[in-house]
Amino acid sequence: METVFGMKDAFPHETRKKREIEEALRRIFQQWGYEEVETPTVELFKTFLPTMEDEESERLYRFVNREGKLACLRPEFTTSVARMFSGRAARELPTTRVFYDGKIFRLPTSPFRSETELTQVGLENFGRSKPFVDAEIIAMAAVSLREAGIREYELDIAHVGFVHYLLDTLSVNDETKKHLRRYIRNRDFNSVKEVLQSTLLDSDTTSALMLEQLPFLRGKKPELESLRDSFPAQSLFAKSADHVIQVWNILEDLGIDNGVFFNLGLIRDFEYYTGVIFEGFSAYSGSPLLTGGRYDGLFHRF
Amino acid sequence: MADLTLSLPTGRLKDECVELLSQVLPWPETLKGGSRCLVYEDKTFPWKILFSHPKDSSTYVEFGIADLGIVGKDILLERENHVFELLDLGIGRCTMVLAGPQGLSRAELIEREHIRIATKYPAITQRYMTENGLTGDLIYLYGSIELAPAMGLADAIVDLVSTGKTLQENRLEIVDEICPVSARLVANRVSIRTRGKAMASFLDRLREVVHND
Repeated sequence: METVFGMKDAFPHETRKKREIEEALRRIFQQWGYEEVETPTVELFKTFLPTMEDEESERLYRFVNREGKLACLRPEFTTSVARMFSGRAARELPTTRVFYDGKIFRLPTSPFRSETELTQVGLENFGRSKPFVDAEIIAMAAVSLREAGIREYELDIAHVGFVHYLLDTLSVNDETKKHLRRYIRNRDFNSVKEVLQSTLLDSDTTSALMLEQLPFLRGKKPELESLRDSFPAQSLFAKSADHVIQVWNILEDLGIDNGVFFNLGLIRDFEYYTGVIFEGFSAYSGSPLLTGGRYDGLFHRF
Repeated sequence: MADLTLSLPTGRLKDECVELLSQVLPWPETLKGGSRCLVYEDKTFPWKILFSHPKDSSTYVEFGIADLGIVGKDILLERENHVFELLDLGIGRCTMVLAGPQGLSRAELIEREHIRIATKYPAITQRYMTENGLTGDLIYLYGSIELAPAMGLADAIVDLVSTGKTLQENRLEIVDEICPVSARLVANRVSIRTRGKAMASFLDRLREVVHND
């Protein structure tokens, strides 16, 4: 019998390997005080609308349920977990640290791809945006990569404030900023350079030069500190850099800053992030292995 | 893992790529001319070179098989590969156009209630139709697209045009220019970090050569 296009079986040797990784992660998560939750495989489509761009919501497996409502298979867990805990006062929350481990479903990004069902293991920490909360999550990311057996992993950290500030300080109109934002999201830095050079009278400002060089602005803490010092202390850039540096200091104290870099060119596909963002990867794999970030206001959407 | 892997397109673009790159890299003599070898690796040359089908170059980069690649903008628009686009190399210049039979105006073509467009680029065509409020059928062909309107398979075509000679010979003309196309340098989204320094210096040297031409 055939399977549905994009869905696949896992034979014992593969399943064994997968479970080993999942169990290693679960053990670590529980050790750090995270508790497991389950969310429904099927959710209402409208649950995901506030957090998704149009093109992302088009990639959901949608269908009409028995009541005639538009339902979908979950494309990720974060939104479901936020829905699950929203509507409760902070002191009524049974816990502020949860994790999940399950299948997610997304239609392929293009006709040239097939994968549609993926296993996602992740965690959420509901708390104020404080450096120690972000540091805990990034520490979990580093430990997870190590425990999953990833050789020579690296972890890039950024803050959404970096690109916001650079765009805000450009002397171009909102329409141009919108285009630039889209090009950055699509990783098209040839167009970023072209737009900046054709619209700016003076394309040699710090912001313009940094936006052009974004994918290569990556380094260690001292470099981030000197970047911060080149901007006014009260600017969004300096404040964002300060936040990242404070997170970094905590990681140093914990002894898990090895492999950590700042990366101004870090680009997240979801729009809901509001603070620190990060991505884990290894030179042995062509795509990122782990992603995450800070989002305030997700609870308020429900 | 000190060396970079570069994916180059075979076919028409290959010679132009090699000419451009030999101004930046100590290009080995054995790699010039009509070699049919698909992978080039040599201890004396610090790069590994892959030669892939022009439509596949960015796919090798997306999956991290190659760190850098050269690919036409038409392919990037069609495939939407998740890669960093770093530089317009200025070679392989042409235009993506909507073309139809000679003498048929854009208004006349668009006023037709239902048009049939033949193309090798279904995604670009579909986007163009949506943006311009065109409704119609799309016929996906592999090549010699000009044959379709000549034989009545389609009303119009979406294809790349460089000199316009093929269009003319098949009694077609440009109805609308969709976008300019040329070869681009693209990078894998992990290698751009793990090998960022080597890439940035290569990019600078290449940019100098491209802008001096």
